[in-house]
Amino acid sequence: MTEIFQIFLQILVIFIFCYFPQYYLNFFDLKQQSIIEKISLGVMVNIFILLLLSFSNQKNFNLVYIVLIIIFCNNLFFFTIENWGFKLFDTKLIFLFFFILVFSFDLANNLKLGWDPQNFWFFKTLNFIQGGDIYNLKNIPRPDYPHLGSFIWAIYTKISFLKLEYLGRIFYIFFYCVSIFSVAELLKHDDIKKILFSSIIIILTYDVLLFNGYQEVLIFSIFTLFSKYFYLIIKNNISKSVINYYIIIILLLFLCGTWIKNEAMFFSFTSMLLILCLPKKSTLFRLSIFFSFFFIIALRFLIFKEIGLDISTIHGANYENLSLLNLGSYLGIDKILLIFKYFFFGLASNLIYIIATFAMIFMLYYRKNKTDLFFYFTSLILNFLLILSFYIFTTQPIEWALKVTIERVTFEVLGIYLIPIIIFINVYSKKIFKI
Amino acid sequence: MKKELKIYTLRYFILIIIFFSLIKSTDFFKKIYFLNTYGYSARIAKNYSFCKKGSIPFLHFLKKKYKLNQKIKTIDYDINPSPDWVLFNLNNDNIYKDKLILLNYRRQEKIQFLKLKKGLFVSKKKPPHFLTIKKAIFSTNHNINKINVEISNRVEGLIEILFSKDFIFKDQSKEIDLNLDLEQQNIRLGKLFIKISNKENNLKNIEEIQLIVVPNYDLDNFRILKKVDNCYFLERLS
Repeated sequence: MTEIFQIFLQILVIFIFCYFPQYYLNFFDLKQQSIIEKISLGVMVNIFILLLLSFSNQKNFNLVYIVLIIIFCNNLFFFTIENWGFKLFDTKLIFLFFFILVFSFDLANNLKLGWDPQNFWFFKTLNFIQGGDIYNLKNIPRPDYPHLGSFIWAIYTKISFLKLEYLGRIFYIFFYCVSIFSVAELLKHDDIKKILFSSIIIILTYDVLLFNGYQEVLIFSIFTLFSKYFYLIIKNNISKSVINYYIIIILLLFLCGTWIKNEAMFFSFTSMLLILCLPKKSTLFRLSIFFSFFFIIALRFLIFKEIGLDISTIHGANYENLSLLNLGSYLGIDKILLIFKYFFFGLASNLIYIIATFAMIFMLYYRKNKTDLFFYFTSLILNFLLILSFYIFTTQPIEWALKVTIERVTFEVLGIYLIPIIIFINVYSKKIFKI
Repeated sequence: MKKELKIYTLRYFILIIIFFSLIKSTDFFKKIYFLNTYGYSARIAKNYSFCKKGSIPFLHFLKKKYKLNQKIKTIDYDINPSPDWVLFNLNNDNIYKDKLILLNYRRQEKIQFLKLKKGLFVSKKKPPHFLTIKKAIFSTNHNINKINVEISNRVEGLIEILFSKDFIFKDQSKEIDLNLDLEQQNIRLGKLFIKISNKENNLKNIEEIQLIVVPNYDLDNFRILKKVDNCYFLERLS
């Protein structure tokens, strides 16, 4: 019974940590936001704060505790005064909580860690749990991999009463569910339909193995949120200050992503290209986006170097002796056909890709205003090319690499393509959504 | 009004169906029951096999029973993720030098190589890690005098030669001693091949080759502290 109570409590604690008060949003001239909106923003802010805390000296964990206590008290105060009474009986909030609870119980019964988590991700988590800091990561397997996902896992394990490692992974479930519920907020429908949409997406994508310590689910959630805020910018009927607010969120998402997995750097790059192509934006806007992104990547490499990691070894085992001079030697028709074969199976296993692609093709053909779709279609092509290049240039046995990773890699950016489905529903809802 | 009421009832009905289907598909109540009945360690033991596929519960058991707070050299003879995280201790970098954990240990194995074409043989299965190939036995009715043996690992068209040597057979023997230590070789992926050739060109009668492999660690040199199936917790005999 203690563990059931602890899971319940852990979810509530994460909820409070990830609440973003409306009081602060008023500074950005943002009107009253829904509770899901505030939580989705709060998760991102929480991850960013944890990233900053991860650079502090863990041997003196008091500082981390003090910061966390201040955040918790602040959020709890605003959560109580802003949502007191019937607001807590928000149907979306209840369903969100229910989903997280169900999946947390599922996780508590499926404790087996995945292959990569057992080989390196969990070592990083243990490093932080046992009092090690970021400088100690060079003594942990795969020092070229970033640490933020493992740090979050460690912190939420540490602040739980029972200190069981899977309690830290409940945050992964929380982020995954929140990102999907947050995207559903874009639907121009009532709460019941939003819940219905979120439920269908969750049913199509959920697998307890997503939470066995792999970091892909965090990247999925990050790019799902990116996609949402990017769509809000494209809609272009918002004030400049709100656009700036969304751009800040997107840059923070990129920043956090690059500290969770190395691939996120490349996916962020293709996503940044889309922002640069936004119409009716000044050169100053484009330059500031480009240099901010460049700064994020440069900062990551500088900190890596400062920690004592050789930045030339990043994913070194997968891309040995790769240089611009010998890129041509990696290309071969057999190799490309093999990649396509597995790529097809990878996409087929993620049903959302198929639905989103059909929705995009349908709308590109029939819909008059195609500006927003153009961005998502370009993103799809760019990300597919990027994933193909990951495999074309790998020096690992390619068939083995495809077999064990293609589903996970394609899943990372899957969330971006929830938006075309939402656009489709918004446009054609009267015809297809009669209930 | 009546129609609207009907629509709302239908929507809530769908939500209720989703709610219950989620409960059903995730065995929600069953999982609450398990959570309530079994503790964390018991659930770990249920999730991983006790002495297979990483043998995590076996290591948890040792850690608890022997109060292990240092690292121990752990060798898994099967291909599994590293189980070292179970005994990971950041604050104690020492290692128990006199202790050893062997997982999925096998004493001696025969690995069959089937004939692909004249002089080329492919293994039916992968030899385990941390083993030494002691000898090769050739199945033939004819005598062989001189032979070149090449053992290679082939991964998706890439050939890595692990061993190549000339042998002279003595006293009509059909066995050769190889003593090839595989501990240093990365043969996790791919397939093992044996290529044989000689000047007399009389190899077409060799139908099969068997490799005799033995583990690098001999149990006779250790005292067994705990044994469960093929998992051993050992202490070096001084």
